[in-house]
Formats: sequence, C-alpha cells, structure tokens
Amino acid sequence: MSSSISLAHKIIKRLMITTLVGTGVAYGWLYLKAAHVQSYLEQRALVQQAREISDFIAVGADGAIALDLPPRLSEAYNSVKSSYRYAIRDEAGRIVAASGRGVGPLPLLMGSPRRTYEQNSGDTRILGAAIETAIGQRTFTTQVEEVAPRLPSINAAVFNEFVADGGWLIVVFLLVQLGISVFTVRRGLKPLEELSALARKINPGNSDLRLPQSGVPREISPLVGAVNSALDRLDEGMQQQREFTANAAHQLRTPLTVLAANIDMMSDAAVAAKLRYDVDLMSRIVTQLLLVARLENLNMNLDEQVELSALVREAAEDLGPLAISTQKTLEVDEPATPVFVRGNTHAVAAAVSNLIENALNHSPPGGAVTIRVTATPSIEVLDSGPGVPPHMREKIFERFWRGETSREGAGLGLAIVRRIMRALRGDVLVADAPGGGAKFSLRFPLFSAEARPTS
Amino acid sequence: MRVLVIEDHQRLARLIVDGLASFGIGADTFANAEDGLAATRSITYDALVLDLGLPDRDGLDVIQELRTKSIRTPILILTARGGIDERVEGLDRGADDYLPKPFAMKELAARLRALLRRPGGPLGTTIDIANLSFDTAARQVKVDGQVVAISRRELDALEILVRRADQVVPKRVLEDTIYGLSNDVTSNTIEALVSRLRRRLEAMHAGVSIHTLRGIGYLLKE
Repeated sequence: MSSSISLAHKIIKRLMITTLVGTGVAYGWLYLKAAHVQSYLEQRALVQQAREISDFIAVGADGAIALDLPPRLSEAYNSVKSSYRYAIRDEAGRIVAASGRGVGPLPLLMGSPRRTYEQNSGDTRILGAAIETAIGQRTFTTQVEEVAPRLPSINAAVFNEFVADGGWLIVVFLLVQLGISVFTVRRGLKPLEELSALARKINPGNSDLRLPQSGVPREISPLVGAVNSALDRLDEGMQQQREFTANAAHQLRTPLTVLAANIDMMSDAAVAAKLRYDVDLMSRIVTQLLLVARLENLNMNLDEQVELSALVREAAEDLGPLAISTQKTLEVDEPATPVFVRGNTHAVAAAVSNLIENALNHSPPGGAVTIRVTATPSIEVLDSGPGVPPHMREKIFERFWRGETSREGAGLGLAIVRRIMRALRGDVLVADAPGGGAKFSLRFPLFSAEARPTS
Repeated sequence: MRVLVIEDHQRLARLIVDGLASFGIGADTFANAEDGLAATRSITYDALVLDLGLPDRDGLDVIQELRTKSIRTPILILTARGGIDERVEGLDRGADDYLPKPFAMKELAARLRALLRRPGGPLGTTIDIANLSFDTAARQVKVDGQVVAISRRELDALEILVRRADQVVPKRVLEDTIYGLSNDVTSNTIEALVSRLRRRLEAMHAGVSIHTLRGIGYLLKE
C-alpha cells in the first residue's frame, strides 16, 4: 500500500501535460506562421521599392545610363538616417548607379526575374531584394537593401503582440482546464471514497453490511459486486460458525445436567461438593458461550431504552445469594433520579452480571462489592480484591485470557463485557478502587431522544 | 404427592425420578408429549415437570393444550436454551416456574415444594426452615415449637422472606406488600422493621438469619 499511486493525480497530470503540449504545438505553429508572414511582407515591400526605382532608369541615345530620382526618393535613400540603399547593375553586374552607401554583393539571380535574400553578419541583418528590368535591348538589375540591427526583438515583438492580442487567454484557459480536470476527476472518484468509508465500517459485528451498487460508475461496479459476493460467502461462514458455537454449547447442557444430577445422588457429600464445583464452572462456561453466540447473532435490538438503576438492582438480586453464601457483602448505590441509556436490556444485564460475579470471585470472604450507578451515565463495580496491575488492564479483556490469580471463570466474561459495551458504542475500563481493589466502569454514550444509532 | 416428568433424555429422566424420590417426591416419567398427556388423563398429578425440547411436540404447545383444557396442575419447565424470550413465553403460556439446565436436584425439589405449597396445594400451609415454622393459614410463627409473639407487620415481612428463602427480596417488594399505597413509608421504615424482626429471631435462637444487601434487599437463609 505504501507505493500506491493516486489515480486522480495520474489523470490530472496526464490531462495537463496533453493540454500543455497541444497548446504549445498549436501556438508554436501560429508563431512560425506569423514570423514567416512578417518577413514575406518586408520582402514584398523591398521588391516594390526596387520596382519604383527601376521606373526612373533611362538609357540615353549614346547608351549612357541615367537615374533621375525625384527628390522624395533621393532623400529617402541618401539621407544619413536612412537604413535603405540601392544600386543599379548592368548585365555584367557592374554598378551603374547607386545610393550614397553601397550595397553588398548581389547574390546570383539564377535566372529568376526577381529574388530576395537575407544576410546576417554580426549585429546587422541585411534584407535585400533585386529585380530585373528590361529597357530597350538592355537589362538592368535594381537591388535594394535594408540594413537593420539584428534584434531578437523581432521574436520579442511577435511574442508581445501575441500576448497583447489575446495570448493571455491561454493562461486563463489552462487554469480553467486544470480546475475542471480536478473537479471532474474528484467528482468521478467520489463514489469510490464513499464506498471505502462504508467498507471500513464492516466488522464481525455488522457483517451484513453491503456496498451499494447504485450510483457507482460502471467501471467500478464489477468490483463492488465481487466484494459484496465475497462478503456474502464470508458472512455465511461466520453464520455457520456462530450456529455451531450455539449448538455445541446447547448440546452440552443436557449431559451436564445428567452429570450434576448424578453428583447430587452421591452419598459422599464432600466429594460431591468438589465435583459439583467443577460442574458449576463448566455450566458457566457453557452459559457464556451461548451468550456469545446469541450476542453475535445480531438479533439483538440495540435501540431499547434501558434504565440502569433498576437493571443493576435486578442483577444484584440474582447474585445476592452467591454473595451471602460466600460471606461477602453486596451493595448498590444509585442516584436519586433514573438514568436512561439506549441499548439492550438483556445485553447490559449480562455485562453487569459478569462484572458482579467477577468482583465477588476476586473479593476475599468478608470483603465488599459495591455497584454504583452514576448519571455520567456509567455503572461502576468496585471490589475488595487485589486489584488489576496497570500492565494487565488491557489484557484482561482479551477473549479466553485468564489472569494468573483468577480462580474461576472461563476468561470469557470480561471479553463478553467489552464486546457488549463496544456494540453499544460505550466501553469498559478498569482502574484502582479508592480503598484498594479494582474498579470496573461501564461507560455508556449520552442518551438523547433524537440521536438514534445509525446501524 | 406425585409429579409427572416429561423428559426425552432417558438417563436424565431416571436421575430426576431418583433425585426427587430422595426428597420424598414420587415421580412418573414419559419420554414424549403424547404419552405424557395421555398419563394426565388417567392420573391427577400434583405438578408437572416439562422439558421444552421434546421429540414429538414443542413443550410450549403442551402447556397451551393443558391450560386450554382448564387443567390447572402447576407446571415447571426445564429448558436448555435458557434465553429470556423462551422463559417469558413459557410463563406467558401458563407455566408456573422454570429452571434452566443444568440445575441442582435440590433446587428442583425446592421449587416443586414451593409450587405445591400454594393455597389448596398438597403440602399444606406450613413452611419449615431450620427450627422455624411459619403457618401461613393461621399466621403463626413457631421456633422449636414455641409460638413467637410478633407484630402484624413483622409477620408480613417474615412471610415474604420465608416464602422466598435463599432468594433476595427487593426492598421495594417489602414496602409495596406491607405498606401498600400508604404514604407513611420513609426509607428507614423497612430497615427499622427488618432490624426489629432480626433481633426478635435472634432472641428466640431461631436457626435462620436475615441478611441485608444495601440498596438491593434482604435475604433469609438457614
């Protein structure tokens, strides 16, 4: 589980990468296109300029060539500030007329009537155009060049223009896209989270819980179905196990009765008493096993209103004879007003009886066992035994665990008590009693008329 | 005094018959409901001990059939299941008492005697515990054959305790039975009453003692 990958992250990451790459390619293409158009427009302008100049070439009768530029053009090409220059070449490539500053060598025209070229040297970029003009029998080449500092700003300019023209939308678009991806993926995976939360609640106490298949995405539905049918099979196995326990315990009762009756008929009272003690112990184990089986069969209604004081008194009444016959005192201390909890009378009574019996077993003859009902709400059972050392305080609630000093019981009692209390959303704790001995507390959740258990 | 035991477990049935015999109670035994019911038609038993798990019929149905025929014989049910619901249903259908398995023969005998000691029952109206004898009809207490002079309320309290010897009698039951709805009961009234009764029994050297379980009730035993 430690190396698990997040499906949400994976989906969002891949969506974002795809979008970024796609956007990059699309805008890169647009950028290249824009750059190309820019240089095409510049070149066309130069060709236009060359054509304009070539209109002023005149050939005299003597064959002399004259270029009579109007002042507007002459000024434009010859001024100091001008970045343009021109030259007229004859068929042999000799310059017959030129602007103040010379032009570079003319690249070969290769038979084409016009051409453009670009040269980069150092910080300067020269963009040139040349056209051929036929005058009479002769052919001249007009060459125009623009010299400009070589700037990366051509790219920057294109970029700035792009941003200003709406390129910023891409950022907004990407953010919106990210938001939508996160939202959609989260939303899509939400049923999974809900299913997980539900699955976490499944335990042996409510093994009848199943994951809902409605509202689950079609891709996950087969998994949910498979999990549910696996749970069905496990539940069936558990049910069989419980029935087996109940049946086994139940079947043991009649032979135990026969055994007890046989012992009662024995003539030697001392031996009979010893055997009777063990039969009683076995009977108690069988009773507790049956109780466990019944508790786990989930037929228990946990939604009854239970009054603790009356319940504790009844449990104490049942165990009174045991207390008197073992020379111990039993006492109930209850508040003036009734204390109500939500639960199951039978289950709470079983928990209290187990604790009282336990307390009587661990108190010496002459010792006292006090049962106190508080408005917390809780039930406390205080004994006058040796107490429970701190390192044993969790262990004693483990099923079938027996304390070294324990003289009776199957070790099931306290495990049953904990099981009952957890089912009621309460708990059982052990601490020191004020005068020595142990204090077991049954804590119940606060009773409120509206709050009903959701199970 | 004769009781009918309907129990399908042969060895247990035999042990019950022998056990009850040792307490002076005669018993006949049948292994299924039909034979048992047939027996009730020819012999009038003083009480019926009925196992709920019978091979041919549900024990609860047997109780119902007997009661609908107006047969009032006290019925004590034996149950291996011991669940509260089953016991309650048994009692609701007309059983008089129940005993979960496994049980002590002594207790079965004691419970049967309690059933038989009811008004009109074959055991008469006198309850004997150790050297104490309580005549519920004459409302008289004797210790070692000597009549004890005792107040009416002490007598009421003693009757309840004696009838339920070895069991805890809740304080509230004493209050309700002795004082009814009268308002002059304070929390000390019963304590004072029981304390007087206890001193009187001690003075007479009665072989019974009354134990106090604070906040719970009282218990009388040998």
